[in-house]
Amino acid sequence: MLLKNLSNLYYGWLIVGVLFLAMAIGIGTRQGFGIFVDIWETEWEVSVSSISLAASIGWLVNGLAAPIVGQLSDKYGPKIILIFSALTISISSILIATSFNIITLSIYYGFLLSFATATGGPVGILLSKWFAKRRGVAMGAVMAGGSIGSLFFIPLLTFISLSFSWQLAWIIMGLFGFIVVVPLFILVIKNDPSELKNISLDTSQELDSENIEEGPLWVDQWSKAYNSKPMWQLSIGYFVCGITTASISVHFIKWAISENISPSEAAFSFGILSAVNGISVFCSGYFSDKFERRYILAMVYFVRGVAFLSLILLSGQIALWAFAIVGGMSWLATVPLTTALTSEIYGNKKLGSLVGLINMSHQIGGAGSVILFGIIFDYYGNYDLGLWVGVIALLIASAVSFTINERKFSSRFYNKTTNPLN
Amino acid sequence: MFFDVKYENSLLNHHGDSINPDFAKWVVDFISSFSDNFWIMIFIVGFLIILFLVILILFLSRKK
Repeated sequence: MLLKNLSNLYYGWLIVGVLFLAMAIGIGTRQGFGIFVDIWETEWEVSVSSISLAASIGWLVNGLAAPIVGQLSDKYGPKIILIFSALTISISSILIATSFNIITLSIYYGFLLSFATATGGPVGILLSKWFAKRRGVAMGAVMAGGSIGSLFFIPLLTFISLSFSWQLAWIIMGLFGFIVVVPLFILVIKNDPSELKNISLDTSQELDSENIEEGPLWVDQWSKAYNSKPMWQLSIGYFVCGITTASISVHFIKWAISENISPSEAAFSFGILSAVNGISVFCSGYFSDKFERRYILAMVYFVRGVAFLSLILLSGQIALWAFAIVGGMSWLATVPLTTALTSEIYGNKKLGSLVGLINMSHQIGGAGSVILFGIIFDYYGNYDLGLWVGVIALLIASAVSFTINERKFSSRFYNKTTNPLN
Repeated sequence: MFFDVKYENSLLNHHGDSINPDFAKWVVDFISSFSDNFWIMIFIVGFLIILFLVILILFLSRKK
């Protein structure tokens, strides 16, 4: 009975399952970098800051690669790009195991792996083509794969590097890509529902076949999107998202020390933040399918603003845990909402490029904020000014997101509000 | 003193791409506080779940 029900499952959910596993392995691999910093420092006799250079290069390359990978996906379709990305991630993971100094690490991790993981565009295109009614929940589920994957793969990488060697840890991650992700991408991923041999009735459950998706701002050139307000509204929101996530990722522990909290407790609370985030990213996607996505997006930025405010107004451990719980509720939740809104406002034709460009604004905001927070701490000896910048920026992002005219521009509402037949 | 200087560098230069090195230290301590057998069991269960998901996805996609 269960098997029969499962065999009637909409094919798009199989694609979500594949992307969930791919995200879990991909993000797990990328986030595991921090585990090896101490090992490399001792083995290669280099400073932590020089190892961090490879991570910094990776951060920048990932941001700059996003529009390029997105544009390639628009041109050749997301499947081939995802297969190529998975192959590159697997090869570069194995190559990292052969690293013997900072230069080789920067090439394999900073350039190769980071370039290949800039897959926001192809993933966005794929899910937008397969899902209309439950696009938010599908995108949320895929993003949750990243959080859940980190909970499994980071301890796995740590265990292997402690019990065997750091090289074996990277080789195993590379093999995971080769054995699990690449075959699944080849066998299961289909660019479009029309590629199915048997287009069954269940397709209409997800893709609203009676209303052909269209919108007044749908573009066939990515540059045209910048002539309209929503593209700027979405980019501003994501820019602020980058400011507030990157600054916290880098400076959170130092903030905790300035509040007389032990680094280990701060680190643990940051782990809890990631776990809460896994649930919240899925929920935000689910609720965005029920209500206008702009309301949920505005709320997510507002909630993160409250979390930042708690770091200023509260003190010590209360502030730490308030931030971990409240901040965790909003951490990655912007990703499915922003991608879904972009696809519904601008269409799928140039979605890869647009998602890539919006991602780039995220990375630019993040890079700037990390430096800004560092300068503020050096000058004032605390993070209060930086946190206030975060609060104000988040309130602006919340207001900007709230004012996106979704009913006028989104394909979710366009047909229904303008077509008298509906 | 040496530790302080090193710590500063790691925080000012390490961008938010991977997990924070201090969080990594906590993860290392956490992993070390349990026996190897415990972790091997956890990872085997994890691998089996991944294997089950892969087989299920391939099985369900075969006709379509």
